[in-house]
Parts: sequence; structure tokens; C-alpha cells
Amino acid sequence: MQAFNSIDHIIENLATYNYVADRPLATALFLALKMEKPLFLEGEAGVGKTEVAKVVASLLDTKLIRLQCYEGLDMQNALFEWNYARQILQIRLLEAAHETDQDKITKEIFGPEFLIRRPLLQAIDHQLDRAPVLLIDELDRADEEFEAFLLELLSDFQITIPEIGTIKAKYKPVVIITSNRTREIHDAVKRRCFYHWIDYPSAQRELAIVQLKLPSITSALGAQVVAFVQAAREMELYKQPGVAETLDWAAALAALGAAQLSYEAVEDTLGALLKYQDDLIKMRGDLAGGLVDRAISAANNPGIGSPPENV
Amino acid sequence: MFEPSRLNTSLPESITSFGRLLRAGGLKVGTAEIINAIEAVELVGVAEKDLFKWALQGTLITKHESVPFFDWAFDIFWQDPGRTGRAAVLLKKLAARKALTGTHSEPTARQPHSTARSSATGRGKSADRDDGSGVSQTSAYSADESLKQKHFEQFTEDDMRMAVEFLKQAKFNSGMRSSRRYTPGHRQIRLDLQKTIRKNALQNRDFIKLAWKQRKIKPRPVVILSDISGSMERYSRILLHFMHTLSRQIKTMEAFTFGTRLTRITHQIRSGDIEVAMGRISADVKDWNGGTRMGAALETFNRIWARRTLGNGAIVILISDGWDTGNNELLKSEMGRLQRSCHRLIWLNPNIGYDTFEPLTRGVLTLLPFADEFLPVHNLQSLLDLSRVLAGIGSSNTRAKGILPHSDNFGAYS
Ligand SMILES: Nc1ncnc2c1ncn2[C@@H]1O[C@H](COP(=O)(O)OP(=O)(O)OP(=O)(O)O)[C@@H](O)[C@H]1O
Ligand SMILES: [Mg+2]
Repeated sequence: MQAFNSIDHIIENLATYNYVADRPLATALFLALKMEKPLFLEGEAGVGKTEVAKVVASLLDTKLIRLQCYEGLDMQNALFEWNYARQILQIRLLEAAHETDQDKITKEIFGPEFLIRRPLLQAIDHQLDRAPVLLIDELDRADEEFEAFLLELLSDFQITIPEIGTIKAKYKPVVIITSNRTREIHDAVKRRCFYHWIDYPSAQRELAIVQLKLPSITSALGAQVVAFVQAAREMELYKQPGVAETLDWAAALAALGAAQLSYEAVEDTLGALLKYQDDLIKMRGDLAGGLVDRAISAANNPGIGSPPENV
Repeated sequence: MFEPSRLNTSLPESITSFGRLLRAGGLKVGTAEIINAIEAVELVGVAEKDLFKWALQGTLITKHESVPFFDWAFDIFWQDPGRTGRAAVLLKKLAARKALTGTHSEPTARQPHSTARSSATGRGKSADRDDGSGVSQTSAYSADESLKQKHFEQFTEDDMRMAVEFLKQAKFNSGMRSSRRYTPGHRQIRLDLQKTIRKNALQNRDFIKLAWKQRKIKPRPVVILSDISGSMERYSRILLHFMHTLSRQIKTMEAFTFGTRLTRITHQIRSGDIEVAMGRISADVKDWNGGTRMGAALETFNRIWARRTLGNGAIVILISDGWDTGNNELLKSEMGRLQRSCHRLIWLNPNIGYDTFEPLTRGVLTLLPFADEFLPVHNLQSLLDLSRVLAGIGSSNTRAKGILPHSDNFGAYS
């Protein structure tokens, strides 16, 4: 936990893993780790929620265990499942060896080696020499019943499998839960966690991200891309571009050999930034209205439109 | 270095009180959260304000939407503790009112005669109620109870006509103030020395006849500031009728509208005939149903009109939903000035009439700490309730003592 001894340390260390964190996020991480509470990260798509968990795992030099949530996610897929095929095979083998003691057979086929360990069980029943990071990604996509189960799990990090017994985590995992807020997560779950909302980055921080992730891009293009995206977020779009889209778009422009934003280059690559037809139509209207020029001049006057920030 | 201005109490105690303030505002903050918050603060310390704040925030809220309210409560509680008691009481009242909406049936509405002077405002025992300043909801008129409860938003043209008739006959009174002048009295409070001497000087008696005096009671002036921006559109018409009624009963009433600018409509609204009044107002007010720059409007009022209209212990009634698109800092300072320069600032907000109302918008949070009363204005009943509050404002010159406890009492409010 050396890397997490102070908030400033956290910021520096995350940066070495190419993650640009602001102070509120670093504080949230610091406190969640110290208080041994799950970190609940909420925010729009593509603001870097998932990436936090990955980077934290690298920083702690530990394993990342990821549970991707989806509609219909059930215990068999989240926790564990018996390996029926292997069990049946084993029964056949035992029968072939003339084993007839039912109790003995049952005991054998419900042993640990017939378990398929899904992410939650992996996070508890691990043989690691330190706590793994458990990422429960996009919890809002899972059904509400799943939350009730999760609530129980988060409180003691142990589970009971009738045939095997109670399994308790040797090192409680570091838990990071993310949500895109397609629906509200139940309050009871959030209260167990340290809550943090990740906002879109400021222009300054977004530029730092672009430079870190795409070092080959000219600083002029990077600044213009960021100014353009920041302006686009002010428009009423159906889906605002996240940092992921900024990076994709910058990479697309660079691949075309653009050293500066231009009306034509933007036209050709807009699909990397905006994913919905309505948004594209709307944006084309604004392009005609001089959005590119405004972005270029905003990039030349940094500070305008980008409020100072806690970095 | 950040020094929370509450060094007299221990940090855990203060954090617990802070939790109560949040709870008063509708956040679900329980003991477990408070314990977490205390632990988090111990980990980051209090030397740096931002860290301190984020530690509390991450442990006490569970929704991004709660952040503006949290910020507001944080500023008040940790930096302006003098206002905390007031804020907590307002939030409490708000919560109580929310609980009432829907089942809003005060006995006074049903039995206008006997209980019009009951303690609906919580200050029923005030002696001033006996000087005839009460409301009389005359029995001549008895609006259908369902009309009284009906949300203005659902008014049909027929409802509107009936409501206007109702308003014509309702009686409003602004409460009394004691003027600087004295009038002979019977209650033995203030001895009229001059008179006593005059009365007795010439007579050769061995006892003195004492003469008592009391302050002369006068009705308080009322100033109405009514928001007529787009978000208030549904309410503007009925509220102008209300103002018209009020202006005929309270001789010292002044009326203004605002949206993006301030317009004085006192003269227009005083024209005897309501239709004429309405016609003149719609012609003279230029910013109907537009945006709201309340800060600028209040600034104009404070600069040009406050001195002329707010003397003599005036009551200011601000009618607005608190949706503001202007400068928030300006709004805060001008609202503060307004409150300081009147006797009582009553904020009427139609949105309180909705069950789902939460004081979360920036404008609402900015205005709330300055309101002495925060009342709904979404149906006729709420106007009747207002009249009771007005009538209950006593002649004492101190501000609203009875309802606003000292911040030290804060703990008692949850
Ligand atoms: N602060 C940051 N520093 C470095 N890279 C970032 C930062 N924020 C976002 N990114 C990059 O943006 C991309 C999207 O991030 P990520 O997938 O973590 O977003 P998310 O919030 O999980 O989005 P979604 O809701 O779509 O899953 C990643 O490539 C990530 O590296
Ligand atoms: Mg993600």
C-alpha cells in the first residue's frame, strides 16, 4: 500500500500508469482504501471509471478480477457453478470402478475441484499473498435482485456453499464498483461504499490525458481536439462524447495526417467522436456555423472557458 | 488553513449535527454514515478545506444530484454557523409541509368562523391577534372545498372565474406594527410621565393617578415582488388577481413584477376594475414568460425602491419558483440586503405544492436561508393560509423571534 500513503502520492503514481486523476478522485481512492470500503464510481460513459480499477490493480501489483454486469446476470455467472459435465464423467468413472456407496459418490463429486469459480468467488477464495482488486463493472446493467446479494457479500466477504462449507477471504479484496446510471443503484449498496462522481475532465486535464495516451500527436492538434470536444459537450447532444471518444477521434485525425483541425478533416472523422445519427446531423449544422474556427481560437487562448481546477 | 468555525464543540459532535442538517434537507444520513464520516475526516484531517469537504461528501451522499444541496449545507454549517439554526428550521418546515401536501386539510378551512385565529402559524398566542387584525373568511362566501384544494395548474376557465369571485370576497390583512406614536392605553406597560404629571400637578391630592400609554398600532406595509418569467406562467394570472384583491384591502401595498427586469405595477393594479388593471399590466410589463434574472431585479429594487417602500416595518412577499438563470452571487447578496431591510420576508413558491419538490436547485438553495417564511402558493387554500400568516405577524419590532431559534438550539431540531 506504499503507493497509497498520501493523496499526492496517489496522483503521482496513477500518472506513472498513464492515468490523470484529479484531487477529488485521489482523495476518494485514498479514503476507500484506508477505510476498507468499496469505491463507488458513478459518471457518464467514457470518463475513465473502468480504467481506474485497472490502474489501481497495477499500482498495487495485484490481480484484477473483473465482473462485467449485464441484464440477467445470475449467481451461476457471478459466483460459482458446478461443473456438471465433469461431475457426470466422474460418476461414470466411479460406477465403472464399482463404487456403489451413494454418500461417497456425492461427497466426491461436490468437492472443490468440481467448482467453476466465477469472479466473485475468485475474489474471495484466492491463494494470493495480497488483496486482489475486484471490479464490479456497470452494476446498473444487472438486475436489482443482484444488488441484494451483493450487499450481503460486501458486508463480510464470505460465502457458504452447502456442500463445501464457508469460505472466507484471506485478504479482503479492494472493491471498485462502477455505474453509468442507466438506473439508480439501491441506496443500501451505495451507503456501504465511498461515493464518488467522476465528471468530464476540464480542458486542462483532458489535454494532459491526450498527451499521455497519444504522445505522438502534435500539441497544437491535441489542444484543438480538446477545445472542440469541450465545446461539443456544451451542445445538447443525445450522447456526449467521453474521454474514450476524444482519444479515438484524436487518433483518427492523426492517422489522416492532420496537424491541425480543419473543416474537411473534422467532417471525415466525425464518426469517431459521435455515435448517433441525430448528433452527427446536429454537429454538421454547427460545423457550418464555424465551430472549428472557434475551437482553434479557444485552443490558442487556453484559460478561456476552462475554469481553474484542483489538480 | 481551513478553520471550521465550530471549534467550541468537538469534531465528532459537529459532524453529527451536520448530519442532522443534511437529514433535515431530505438526505438519508444514518448513524453508520456519520461514523464513516468521522473516520474519513480523521484520516484526512481538517487542515485542508477541500479534503475535509470531500471526505464528508463521499461518506454522506449517495447521489450526484445531492451535491448542490450538500455544498450549500456545507458552506452554511461550517462557515456561517449563525445561519444553521434558521436553515435547519426552514428545511424542517419544508419537510413537514411536504408531508402535508395531498392530505392538506386544516380545520380552519372548514370552520372559518371559530378557528380563523387558531395557531396555524405557530404563534397563535400572540397578543396581537386580539386587536382585530385577524382574517375573516366571511361565511357569505364558501368556496367549494375541492376548488380551494385544486392545484392552480389544473384550473379550467370556470375554476378561474369562481376563484376570482372567491378572491374578491376574501379578506386579507397585513398584520399590525406599533408606530413610534403613542396613544392612551389601559395596559400597564409604559407610563406616560408627562401626562401623569399634568394630570396630577394641579390637584392637591395625596395619591397620584397614573396615566398609561401604548404605542399606536398601524397596519404594516406590504410589498409584493412577483416572478412572471416563463416557469411561472401557469400561475401569473391567478396571482395577479390575488394581488388586486390584496391591494384593495391593504392600502399601503406596493407591487412589482420581474423576469429579466423589474416593473412597478402598483398603480396599474390599483385601478378599481380588475379587467382594466389586467389590461394595463399586460401592456406595461415587457418581460412576460422570459428568463429570470432575479439578482438583477432585486438589485434594482433595493437600489431604487427599497428606501421608499420598506420603511415602517414592511412585509415583503416574494413570489417565485426559484428558477434563476442570472448571476448567483448577485442574487445571494441582494436577497440578503432585501431581508435585512424589511421586517419579514415571506417567500411563496408554487413548487412546494408538489410532493416531489426538493430544495435542490441552485436558486432555491440560494434564496432559502434568507426567507423568514417559506410557503406554498399553488391553490386557494395556500392563499388563505398566507392570510393567516400575515395576520399573525405581530407588532413586535423584532424579527420573527418565535420561529427562528438561535443556532445553539440547533440540536433540538432533529
Ligand atoms: N483520467 C484519465 N486518465 C487517462 N486515461 C483516461 C482517463 N479518463 C479516461 N481515460 C481513457 O478513456 C477511455 C475510457 O475510459 P473507461 O473505459 O475507463 O471509461 P468508463 O467510464 O469506464 O466508460 P464506460 O462507462 O463506457 O465503461 C480509456 O481508454 C481510458 O484510458
Ligand atoms: Mg467502463
